[in-house]
Amino acid sequence: MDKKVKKNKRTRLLFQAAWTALTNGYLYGFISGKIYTGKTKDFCVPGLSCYSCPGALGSCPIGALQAQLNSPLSKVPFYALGILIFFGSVFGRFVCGWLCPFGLIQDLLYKIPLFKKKKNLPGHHILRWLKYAVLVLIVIVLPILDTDDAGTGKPYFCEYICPSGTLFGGIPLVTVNSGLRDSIGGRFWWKIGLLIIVLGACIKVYRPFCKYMCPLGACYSLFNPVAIYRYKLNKDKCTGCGACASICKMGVDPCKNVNSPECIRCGDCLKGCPTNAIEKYNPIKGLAKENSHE
Amino acid sequence: MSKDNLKTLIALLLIVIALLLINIGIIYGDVGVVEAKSTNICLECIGIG
Repeated sequence: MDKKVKKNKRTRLLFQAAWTALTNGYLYGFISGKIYTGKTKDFCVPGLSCYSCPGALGSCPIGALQAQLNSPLSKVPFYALGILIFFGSVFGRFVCGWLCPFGLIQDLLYKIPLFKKKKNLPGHHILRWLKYAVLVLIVIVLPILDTDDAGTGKPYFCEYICPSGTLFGGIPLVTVNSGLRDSIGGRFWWKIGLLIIVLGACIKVYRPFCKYMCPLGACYSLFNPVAIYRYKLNKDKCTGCGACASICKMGVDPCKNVNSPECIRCGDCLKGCPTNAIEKYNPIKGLAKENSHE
Repeated sequence: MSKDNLKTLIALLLIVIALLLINIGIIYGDVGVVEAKSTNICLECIGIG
């Protein structure tokens, strides 16, 4: 069983790396200190991937949502909402586990053999609600309320919080682009400080940004119970041994709620269950079964 | 109808709504807003400006 879990972890890491390379593969940008400006930037990638990363070939859904909320031209963000609902309904938080570049960074940092590892921060059950507050207040409400005379809002999350933007966009651009380097000020150092805190916490705690701060994870978590890609617990097979809960680093007990909003679909519980009681749900099979009963 | 199939139907309905929203967004020029933002270096995103 342990071998199956290890193999799953390896496969996931390779998949995350390949996806990150694919969606941030404009290597010339890293050398020139410029960003890609082609047509693929019209489309959003599913994960938290800053469009100011020199290698980014697509847009960040949270960045796109803020851009539309801030724009005096499009106050109702139809496009970004559609993208978020689409990815959420199909994948749920599978995106967090497999398709998010910042998730990959957090996974890699947790592998560093420093400090005694902890699954969650103290007060996890209260702190996990923080990401919903970030989504509602910082991503949606503040940019709508705080506008200038022209009706343009500020992208508060991107501007003051997003560590993914600092890591994938800010640092590579400022390193190579001397014009930008000359313009850095207090806000850049604030974001660097926040990035250091988040990355430092990732060495001790598993994915603290996903658990407590990420507005994209908060959004996708709402779809987790109904998403097309979801799990099913076979209660006849489940012995209640607790192996799944002890293996889950997101602090979920799959026996209690197999489609918990906190589950990032890493798949470790599936592979770690000694009786194979947790399965990927097949919606086509489920609908076909219902039709055959009728 | 079983609970699992109801969930599947809700997901399918949400996908249809999402595709409609994306199309409305394209018609109303939302993509232009995203394009304009994402094809220039976002100084706010990198903490400058």
